[in-house]
Amino acid sequence: MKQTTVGGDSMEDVFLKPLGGGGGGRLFKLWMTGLILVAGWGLYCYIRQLYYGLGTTAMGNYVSWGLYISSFVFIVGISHSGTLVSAILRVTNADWRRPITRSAELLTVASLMFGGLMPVIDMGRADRAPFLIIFGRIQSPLLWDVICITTYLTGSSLFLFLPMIPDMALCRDRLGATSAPWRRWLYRTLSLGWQDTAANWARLERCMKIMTVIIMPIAVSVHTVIGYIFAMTLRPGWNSTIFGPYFVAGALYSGAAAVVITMAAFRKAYHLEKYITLVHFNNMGKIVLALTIIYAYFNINEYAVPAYKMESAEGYLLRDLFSGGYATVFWILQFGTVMLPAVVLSFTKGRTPVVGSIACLVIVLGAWVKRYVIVVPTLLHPYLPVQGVPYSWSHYFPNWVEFSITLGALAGIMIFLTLFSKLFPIGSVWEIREGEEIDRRNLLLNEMTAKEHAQTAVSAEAQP
Amino acid sequence: MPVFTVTALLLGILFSRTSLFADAMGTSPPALRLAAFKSSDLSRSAVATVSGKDEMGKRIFIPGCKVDFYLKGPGAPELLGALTTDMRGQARFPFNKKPAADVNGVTTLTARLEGDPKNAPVEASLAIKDASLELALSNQDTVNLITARVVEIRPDGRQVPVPGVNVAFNVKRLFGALPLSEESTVATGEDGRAEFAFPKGIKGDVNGDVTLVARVDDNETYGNLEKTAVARWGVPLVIEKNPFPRELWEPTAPVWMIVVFSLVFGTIWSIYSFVVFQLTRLEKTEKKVGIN
Repeated sequence: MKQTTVGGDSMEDVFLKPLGGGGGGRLFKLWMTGLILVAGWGLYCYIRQLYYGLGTTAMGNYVSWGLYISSFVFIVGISHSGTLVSAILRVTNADWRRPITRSAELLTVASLMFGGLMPVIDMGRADRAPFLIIFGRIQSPLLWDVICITTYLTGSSLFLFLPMIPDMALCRDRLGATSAPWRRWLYRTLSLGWQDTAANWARLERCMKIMTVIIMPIAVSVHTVIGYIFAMTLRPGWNSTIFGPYFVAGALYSGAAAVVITMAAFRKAYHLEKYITLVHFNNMGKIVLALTIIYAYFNINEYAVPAYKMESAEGYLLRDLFSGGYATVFWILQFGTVMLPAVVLSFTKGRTPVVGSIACLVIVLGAWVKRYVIVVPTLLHPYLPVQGVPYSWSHYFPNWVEFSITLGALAGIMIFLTLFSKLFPIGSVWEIREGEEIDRRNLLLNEMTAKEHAQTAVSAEAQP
Repeated sequence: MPVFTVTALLLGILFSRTSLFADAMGTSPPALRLAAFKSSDLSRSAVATVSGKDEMGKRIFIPGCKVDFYLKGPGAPELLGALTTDMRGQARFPFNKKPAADVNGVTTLTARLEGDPKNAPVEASLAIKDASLELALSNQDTVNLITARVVEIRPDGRQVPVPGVNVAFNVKRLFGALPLSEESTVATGEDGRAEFAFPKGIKGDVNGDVTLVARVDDNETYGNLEKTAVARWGVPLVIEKNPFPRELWEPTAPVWMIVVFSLVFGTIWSIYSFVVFQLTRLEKTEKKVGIN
């Protein structure tokens, strides 16, 4: 297998080095310990919630959807990252995507796995989850959501796994002799007996083309259906015709920002500066900027149209958002987490690893809080006025139980990403190599074309 | 000084109205009411109801009160049992067999509520005789007649008709018993019988069956009696065919929705299956061909 050498270590060495199984450095151990503690505490809080019931949370009669559902929408929104980078950029022949496709797809799978748990956590009685299927009504947006997320998770898992097969064969062949027996078994099993044959490559390419095409509408359907969960109700603030595309735009924008953070993190952790370059940050920064502008447009529409009319219950909700209890959060979201990052990313210096990552982190955090602002204020402004109830019923803020469980889920995502990067190459080695081969051929072709042109010019000059 | 005195007086009046200080002054003792019931299946029970008044003077029922039930005989009262009042403030004591009566056929029951230790226990007594309510259904000149007969059952077993007992005629509905008309309470005559004509146009079930309920409510001598009977005197209920059997709001989904979902997701999962099948076909028998 031909190896590409850049600055000493071959490309395969660079991407296989983290898989050494040495247990990782001090920072890695610190990172994992912290994540395991947070995830473990979240798990304990969830078991406690199962035992004592949803009364241990701050949710109640009016606010029956709180931090859990907001986080569900946010985390599943992040999952759009893989579709964007892997599928959309693949279809548009953006070759620069090659080093970052796997981390983007990985983020998709991890987000869907843990994001899909949030509604089950919100249910309280998790044992009743199967009833959604057994006694399901196909007319319900909740069932559409379950079906779509399951379908998307399966498709994304396939889409993640397919390009991993040749790299699993690489791990099997390169690391087999030095790895622990369980690793050898893992790589041998996951490589599916892969050999570098034309038939295998043809089969793989065919499968990847099929999945590339099919994953895009599935991703759009997932976020559209999540928007429908809200839009198909009659509640003020949710009863909107643009929630479907609004949520898709929001998912793309937060997902793209999450890709930037992920690639910056892996680049730093595994010294991939030669493969994840400033070009990647520049290009992804432009994509995030474009998506931010589209999202801002949907945002303006979402509020401007009902604000023009200020009709009854919508009016009360909008007053609360624009100038009431949620005003501070609302305007910080609009200006601080949408406009400001867009301004930063408009400049070339804003699309660098550090500055771009910070801007994208602000976007991601803003997206999380924005989902909360979509879900909770509407529940506190029902058509029948809230009156004659205890104070806690008419005000909601997540308590320590909800924060612990949600942060536990987020820690779970990061544990999954970290462990994956320690088991499998975080970059698609064969795709990067293929890209380099294509670049080399193009360079050669250009050189040959230039030579021919030069020779033709000399011949023309030499003739009398 | 006069201003201070008046202010203190007004404050005293104000605070005396609040529950905080009212509790310190002591609550009014709860009220206890005892009633006896004999149902259509001849089962007997005594029901004690505990009520009181809240700060606003509104009557409320008090749950969680322990009520002792006694049977008063020639000697000391016999403790039958104790029950705690439910959310409706009621404690229902069932009798497995007919409670003992004296030579005159009178059964004396007492309910006792200890309540607040500062106040004396509250008692309610009831002295009732055994009676029976019977129903007979007949048809005379296209008029459906319900005849209720109230008889007193003497200690020697004789059944003596009881005149002057008000019998209410009702029909059983989903949430209770509905009076058959505004004047559906009839007093028994000398023969212990009360007659009532069943009105036309009362809706029954799909077969036209109605459950007739005759009641004697809160009679001083005989307590509460009830008797039911089923008659096919009602107008049969016609369940209209649902004009929209398959809609978004109905239990069964529209056909087009089921078809579209099945087609779309069936196609997607078939494609997944095809991809997985392709992966199972990866083999290592062909000549090696590198990228170069």
